[in-house]
Amino acid sequence: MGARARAGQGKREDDEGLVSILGEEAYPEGPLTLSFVPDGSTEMSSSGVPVLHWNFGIGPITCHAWNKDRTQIAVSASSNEIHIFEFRNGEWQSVHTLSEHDLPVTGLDWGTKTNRIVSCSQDKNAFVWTFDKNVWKPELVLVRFNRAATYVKWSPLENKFAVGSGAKLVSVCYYEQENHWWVSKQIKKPIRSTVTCLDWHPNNVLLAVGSCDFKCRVFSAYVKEVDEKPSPNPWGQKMPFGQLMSEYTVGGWVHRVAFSPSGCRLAFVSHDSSVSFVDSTVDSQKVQNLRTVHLPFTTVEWITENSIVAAGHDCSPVLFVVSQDILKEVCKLDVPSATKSSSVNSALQLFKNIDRNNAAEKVVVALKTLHQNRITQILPHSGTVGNVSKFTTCGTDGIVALWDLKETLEFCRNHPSLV
Amino acid sequence: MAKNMQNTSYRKLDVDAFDPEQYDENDETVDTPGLGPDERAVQGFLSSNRLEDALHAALLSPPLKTKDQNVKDRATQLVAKVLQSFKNAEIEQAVQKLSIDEGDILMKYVYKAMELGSDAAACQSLLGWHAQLVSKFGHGAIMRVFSGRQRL
Repeated sequence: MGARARAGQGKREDDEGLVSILGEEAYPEGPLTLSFVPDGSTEMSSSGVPVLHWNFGIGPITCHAWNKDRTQIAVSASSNEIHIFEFRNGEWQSVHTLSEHDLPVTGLDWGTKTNRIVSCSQDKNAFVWTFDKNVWKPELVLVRFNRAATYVKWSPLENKFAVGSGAKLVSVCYYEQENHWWVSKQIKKPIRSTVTCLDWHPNNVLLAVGSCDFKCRVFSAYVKEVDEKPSPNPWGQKMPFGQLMSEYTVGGWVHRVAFSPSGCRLAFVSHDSSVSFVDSTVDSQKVQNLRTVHLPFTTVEWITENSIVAAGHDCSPVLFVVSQDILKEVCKLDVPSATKSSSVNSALQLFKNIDRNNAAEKVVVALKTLHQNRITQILPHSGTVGNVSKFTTCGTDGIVALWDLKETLEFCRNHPSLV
Repeated sequence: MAKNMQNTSYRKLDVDAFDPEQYDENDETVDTPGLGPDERAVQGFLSSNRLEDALHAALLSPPLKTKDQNVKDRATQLVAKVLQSFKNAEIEQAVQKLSIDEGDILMKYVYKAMELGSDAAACQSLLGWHAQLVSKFGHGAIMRVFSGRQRL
């Protein structure tokens, strides 16, 4: 389909300001970002925050995944295909299309240590893709689902991965050497509804599972065939496979769950517009539920051990911090620009004009945020584990955006009137 | 083509009902004795014109967990009565004093009261409360009514 996604349209930022933004040496930059500087194809977002973003022209993006050096991105566009784009000569070029699935792809994860992609789909299957002789080869996984697969994630060591499903279970998959085959063990009890999200603890054993029964749980996914015996941690002492370590109830179905960089804390977002937070070093059974004024969040990611970014139906990432063991909201990271916020009154004026002129004028329906629809996923882009300096978001509006946290926060600080 | 392609009656089978691990979300609402707010206390506050005290009292112990719909409707009507005693200008101030728990509960009552239906004046008042609740607690308050399992 030759999708050549140019870096957005719209006004350009002047080049000097751009270099000062991107030439920050204190941050470990990916080559992707560097290659943007000479090209100068960055721009101000419609909202006034300087954010790089690209429209891949493939429709709503359900999930995305980066390769190790951030030169390639895999995106799934609500179809059965996975598109891999490479950043060449200042633009994204489609280099591979993986089309082994029959139904829309629901989950995608790029194991950067082993350079393998794992994908899952509504067709109840999961594939592990390995790159060999310039071709991505799929390998079917025995996930044993009778409902759609919903979410997939490599474990930190990438020797196993977990797949969630509408069949109210999680398959923990690992490679069986004798049979040359990915096989799975299943966690069933006590999950009582569709599994929507998963996240691995850095110890490669514990697995957090969020589901539609309004609960978030922490399980042990210890597989004796591939794992070393886990050492006790704040979540518990004994960890046989399938052991329920803790369980939390919230007021809505869980959209996304994430362990903190150390694995001691857990954050999850649910459809009651809340962000929940557990600190296992304080009490692994107690959950703090922060109800917000926003529309529900669909994704959450830890930036540092003390800060979280969540995003969702409000189309803007929101920063939260944990200070003195209390979770607090800081600010939206996508700030309405001065010109637009001053035009709030003019919306009424616009309608009055329409009424007066008795004409169906073209009404501007664009949101003031960069994303024009729900944000579906946040991924860390650059920085280190425990200190993410940049993250990317993808959304139903077909855009992938790269946010520089420091830059964005500075912008918010310099424009306090807009926050 | 096979003959039985025409027969689509099997599609009407509720396959989930045959699942031994079938999950009924209502199972989790325990049938507790329907409490509801203390009606006498609320009436007392109303008659002495202490409207805000009446509102706080009316929002205590909402009958969310009971299965008895009459108890829920009664509580809703009581809260609606309290809400209508407020003048339009007083609503904003009262809402500003609510905690987030009270706000969430009140939002549930407002939606339920709208559902139970009443005259135009009552709806006018409910819409006023709804607008003020949204301005304080945002869209989140609406989402929590929609997604919450414990209903009135």
